[in-house]
Amino acid sequence: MYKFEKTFVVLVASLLFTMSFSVFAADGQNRVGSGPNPYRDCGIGAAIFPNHHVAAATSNVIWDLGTTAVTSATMSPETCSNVHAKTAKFILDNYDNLIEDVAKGEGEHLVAALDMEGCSSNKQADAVTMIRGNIGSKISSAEYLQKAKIDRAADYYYAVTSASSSCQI
Amino acid sequence: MLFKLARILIVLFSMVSVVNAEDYNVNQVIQLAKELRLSKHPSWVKLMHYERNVGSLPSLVSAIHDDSFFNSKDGAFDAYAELEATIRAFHAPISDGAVDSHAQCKFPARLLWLKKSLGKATDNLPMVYCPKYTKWVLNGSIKSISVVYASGFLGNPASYYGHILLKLNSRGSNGATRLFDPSVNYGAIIPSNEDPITYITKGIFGGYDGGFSQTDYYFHNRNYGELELRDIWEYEINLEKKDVDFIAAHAWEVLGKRYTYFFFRKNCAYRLAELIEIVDGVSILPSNRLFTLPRTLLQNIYDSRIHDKPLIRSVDVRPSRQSRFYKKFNLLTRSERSELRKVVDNGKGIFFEVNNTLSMDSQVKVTDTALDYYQFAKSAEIMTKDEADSLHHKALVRRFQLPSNNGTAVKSSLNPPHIGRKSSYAQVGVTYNESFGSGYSIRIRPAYYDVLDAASGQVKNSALTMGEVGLFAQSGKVRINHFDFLKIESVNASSTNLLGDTADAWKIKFSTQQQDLSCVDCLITRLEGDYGYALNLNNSVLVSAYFGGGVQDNRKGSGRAFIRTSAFAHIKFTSSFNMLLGVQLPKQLDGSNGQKNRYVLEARQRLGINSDIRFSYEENKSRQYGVNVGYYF
Repeated sequence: MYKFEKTFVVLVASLLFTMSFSVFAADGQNRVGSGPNPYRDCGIGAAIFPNHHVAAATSNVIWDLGTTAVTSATMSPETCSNVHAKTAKFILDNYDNLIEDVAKGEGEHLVAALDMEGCSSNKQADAVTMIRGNIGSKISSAEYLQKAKIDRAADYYYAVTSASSSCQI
Repeated sequence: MLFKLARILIVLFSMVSVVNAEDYNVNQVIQLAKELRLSKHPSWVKLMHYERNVGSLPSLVSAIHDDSFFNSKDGAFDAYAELEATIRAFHAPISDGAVDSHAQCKFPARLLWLKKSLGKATDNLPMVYCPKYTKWVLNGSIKSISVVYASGFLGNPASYYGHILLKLNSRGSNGATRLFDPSVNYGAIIPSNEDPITYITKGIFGGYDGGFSQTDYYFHNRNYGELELRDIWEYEINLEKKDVDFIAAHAWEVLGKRYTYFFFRKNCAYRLAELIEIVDGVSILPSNRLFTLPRTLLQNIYDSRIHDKPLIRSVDVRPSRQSRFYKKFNLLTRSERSELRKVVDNGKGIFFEVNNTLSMDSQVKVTDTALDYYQFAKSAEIMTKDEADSLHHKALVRRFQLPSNNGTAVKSSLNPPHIGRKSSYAQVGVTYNESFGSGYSIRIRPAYYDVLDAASGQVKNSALTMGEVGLFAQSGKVRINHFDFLKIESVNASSTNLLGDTADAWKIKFSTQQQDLSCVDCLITRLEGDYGYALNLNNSVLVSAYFGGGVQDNRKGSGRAFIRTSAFAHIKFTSSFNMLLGVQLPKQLDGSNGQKNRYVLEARQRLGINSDIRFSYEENKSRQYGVNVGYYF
């Protein structure tokens, strides 16, 4: 019975991911070279850690947080490499810090994301300029304001991976 | 001792001479381990987490009660059986597709230690590649280990005294990439929706399992620094690479294994110290048998040496969002502060288009401070999440229009938590009471701090006390003056007086104490609480006002319930001399005449790092004066 339920849940989840991916692709944002949307295609949904704060405050211990998400993401190695999945999860979890870093043009979190994507340190200044230009052109638009956090994170992820492609070690 | 040594040498010599390394079979390895008495070796006892089972048999029992931690069914209490079973398991053939479940992969620290202890006798062990373990130790690229301390957090009883965890620093990690370093965290495993009373009771008396978990370090950085607004301190341990690898290997062994959690003694600091003490020559566990305070552990680590070198290599800080905001705010000029105040007070967000006279550099500083303020305001619940996010977004948009920073990050000036006095306190002195004359006073506070002596890493202007006892001795008789089961005073003192940053303050106290100062034999048990606001008038003076009440047992007409208003001031005259002034105006709710107004003055002069002298005056039906000398230990 349990096995059947589990299979059913996986099937429904897969269907939902596929549907949302279709919608996403139709928006034209999943452009060539940008890779899959890690939050939808790799299973790193917003539902993974909906309540960090409460969980930590009440239990003071978090079993395997982090690994669960990355494991689910790395189950599709063709679309979601381990490194990209780690970057994607990092961006979703630390979006507030990352968006501030790029607005200021520097910051620990932004450097960490670029390091994870293999961007050499002597070329990171150029990458940051590219990301700043990319996000800066969107952030004041009404459309951006309406976006959910997960979609803003996806925008950020694309900007980082795109900029990193020109600064690989 | 010499006889034992000679016997071991004879056994070693005879075995080496009989068989070559390649000829060792598992039984011979076990025999050698037995002759070397490895099952009684301190390192094996530490690796297995055997603890003395006082007053009953077996004499040693592992702190871990998890079958997966043992290779023998008796391994939890039989050190030799576990040693033998471990050696056999290490020799077991590798089964296809299950390499990670081989004993060498599950217990890499035991493997390292046995190889070191048995030398060539272990050369015949099968070579096992462990993908998951190799990934955990970052392909051998862990270069050092840091003890991480998150400062005390009065929002959660389990974190009043701060929290300790371990971070594995990858080779070449710098300020940025270390966010991805693995971290190891010990805590209680709490069912969801646990009520507070059960939570505290079970936490204290061993009602919960505890265990180590692991996650990327950035999770803790965000949780503690951004959401709970706690400063994070990283103490890098000065160990050789082989010792670092040994600790990382042992951390892997205990990940996910179940211990019994005890809030006071066998808590995060205790279990983490055990991980580090696995290295020969490291002794950092605080000697106190009743409780293990994270800050005391930090002080022990900082004062320790290994191979004649300090055990700590470096200390680094990650200021919380609140600390970063205050730091930036305090660096603003008057005109910049004025602009920020306008932006915050208008409630509509940041804009410099109107009447803008600030330089570009000043606009950057004001906007960066505003970004911190809105995030701080969200975490501190000064404004709703939606409000804060909306205003933060406007500040972001403005920030994108301004030039990038050029390495102008603000450096922290916070004092590290290991600096300063010890955590426990004993005080003796003389007291004169108008009603019953003079006598000697004694006060013992196991932990932690009061308003006058909050140290580095503790919440300023606040108090946190558990189990404090006050005694009064007169004419050969000793009486209890008070016993505080728990006393918390939390003042979230504002540094900016910006909108919403007017600090709230609260107090709660559960104690047995004399009804008032006119009686030495009138103990009542009382639960009391207050809520109010505090205000920093300047860097030296903080004032606070409260409304509160309490319930108590009715003794000699004391009444059962009361409400009250109260006000306090904390004045810092110098860095070593400060004073507390207070007044409480109670009103009994049950018509009795139990409580009278209470006036308090207490002045503290720090004499040395671990000593002080205090003068106190208190009026509550009677007047009382005291001079006391205190010592921290």
